[in-house]
Amino acid sequence: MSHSIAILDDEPKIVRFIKANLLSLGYKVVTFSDGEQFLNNFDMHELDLVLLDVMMPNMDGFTVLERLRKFSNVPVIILTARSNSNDLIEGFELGADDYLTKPFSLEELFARVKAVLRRTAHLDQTIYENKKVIIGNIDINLAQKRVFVDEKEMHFTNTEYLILEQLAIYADKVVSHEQILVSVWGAEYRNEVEYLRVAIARIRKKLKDAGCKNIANIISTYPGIGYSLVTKNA
Amino acid sequence: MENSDIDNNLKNKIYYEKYKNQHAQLNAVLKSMSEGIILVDKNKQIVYQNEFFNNRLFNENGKVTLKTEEDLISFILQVSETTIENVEELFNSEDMYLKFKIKRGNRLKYFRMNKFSVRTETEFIGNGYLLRDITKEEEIDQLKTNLITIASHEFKTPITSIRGSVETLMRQDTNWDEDFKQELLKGIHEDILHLQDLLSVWFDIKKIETGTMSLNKGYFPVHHLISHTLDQIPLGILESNKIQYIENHDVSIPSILYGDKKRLQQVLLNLIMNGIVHNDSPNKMVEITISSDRQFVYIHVKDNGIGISEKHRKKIFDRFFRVDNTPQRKTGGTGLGLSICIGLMREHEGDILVESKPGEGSIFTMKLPIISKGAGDQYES
Repeated sequence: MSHSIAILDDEPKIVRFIKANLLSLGYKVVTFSDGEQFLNNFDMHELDLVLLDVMMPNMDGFTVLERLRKFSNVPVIILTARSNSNDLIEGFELGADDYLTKPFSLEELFARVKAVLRRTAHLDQTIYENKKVIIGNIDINLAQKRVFVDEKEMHFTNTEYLILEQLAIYADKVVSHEQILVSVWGAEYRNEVEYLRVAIARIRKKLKDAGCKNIANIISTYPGIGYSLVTKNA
Repeated sequence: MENSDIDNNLKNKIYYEKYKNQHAQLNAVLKSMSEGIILVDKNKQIVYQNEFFNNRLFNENGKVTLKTEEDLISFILQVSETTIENVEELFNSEDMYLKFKIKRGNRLKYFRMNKFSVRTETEFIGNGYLLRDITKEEEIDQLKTNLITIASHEFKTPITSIRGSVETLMRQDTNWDEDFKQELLKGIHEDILHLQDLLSVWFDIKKIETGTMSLNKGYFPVHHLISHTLDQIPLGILESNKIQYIENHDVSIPSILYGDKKRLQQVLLNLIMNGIVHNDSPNKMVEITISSDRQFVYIHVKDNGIGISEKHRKKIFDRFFRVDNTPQRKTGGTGLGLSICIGLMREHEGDILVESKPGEGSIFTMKLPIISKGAGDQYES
């Protein structure tokens, strides 16, 4: 089955070359030039990935992402002309999975698209038999790939879930930055500690908002080394 | 009286006068300094403050009497947007500085406060605080930041599409059809022209700013200026909008102008295009007319566009000013066009005048001095 990718950018020339290249690689492609139009028609397409431009008239990409994340965890790669690190962090905090800085090479585009899709595919393949990790009121069900807090289901993006899964598989052990980055994002991301830092902050915030206490001790930081999911004394 | 007593008295008097003069001089210097100065003694009592402090920092906050260093700290905290940690750091250490901003109506004023200690060779006397209004510098910094943001978007978009299109054409594992290849090449060509335009805009700004704009002045007929400018308007825009030149047959209007024709065309074209771009009317219209008085020729460009509010009218010639400066704005542009236009007109000893009614349209007028043609001067076509 071929993956469906949406391109959302107001520059027709940029949309044109991205679309042609993705089609040539066997992906299905839908294009949008306006955020509102994209959000309204989102349900009509079963999308596996969204390429989202930041600087757009009417509604900017961050706003689109923020609204999208209220109802969908579809992977999103942000396209931005601003390489300012605050922008990147803002993108990740809103739930982006990756970003491409304009101008980018085709090779980079293909690599990021493949990496993000591989991450999503990974989510469907690995099966953990009936393994559950319980920490206080948090219940991570690895078999069903679902997380509950006080028996209410949590909504994590694919990336966030995969990080939590890595930590849960090796509960009470310290998992290195590199191991998480390689298994969740892919080998070419092994040094992108900033990606991980922002994602962990998002996971902690979601758990905290759902009513988990002492979350910094449950997902504890080992500076310069990695993270650990602590199940004892919780 | 002994002679030596008289001598001493006289000496004292001279010393006293000299000291008094020096003191008055020093006072005058402190008073008229373009920086604020406050002196605080060992017991943290304020012993001197010059007028700058009262005028610049306090005027809109009413007259405030500061007696101690404490008063100064709490005053700064009260009027400015800074934190107690920053202020304490300044007051508790030696030779530090603090930047803070104060809101004045819609404007932010920036200040920098430096601390220095006053001592003789043997004794610590107190501290001094020097306050400088750095609003201008901060605004220039802001401009530079804007420049980078705009450059980043304006330049990166065409570069992204050129790079992507070229790499697409370079792929050896795919056979693109001929039509698609042509489309890509056409797009690349357009983007390169766009980049060239952007570059010339940047160079113009630099030249105007540094006063190195060299004009190639000559004599030419008025109607050439108009018709050659209209020729530069893309056909699509010319056909879908009503752009017309209404000739004035008044004989008192000079038919020959003096100036850099190419540059004047650039200004006129910019004004016409603004009238079309900043226009929501279903029937966009731009009308060009000419008038004159004894000294100047006026070329009026009237549109039925969105108009400019009173508030924005003064600022439209500022570099990077755009009425809507958000990334979501509808119309593009660098925010440099009008600032180049007015720069070019001023290089001609002329100007640009604006009349506008929001919702109804604007009239931009190029004002050019009349310089009559001498016998030996040649026309330029």
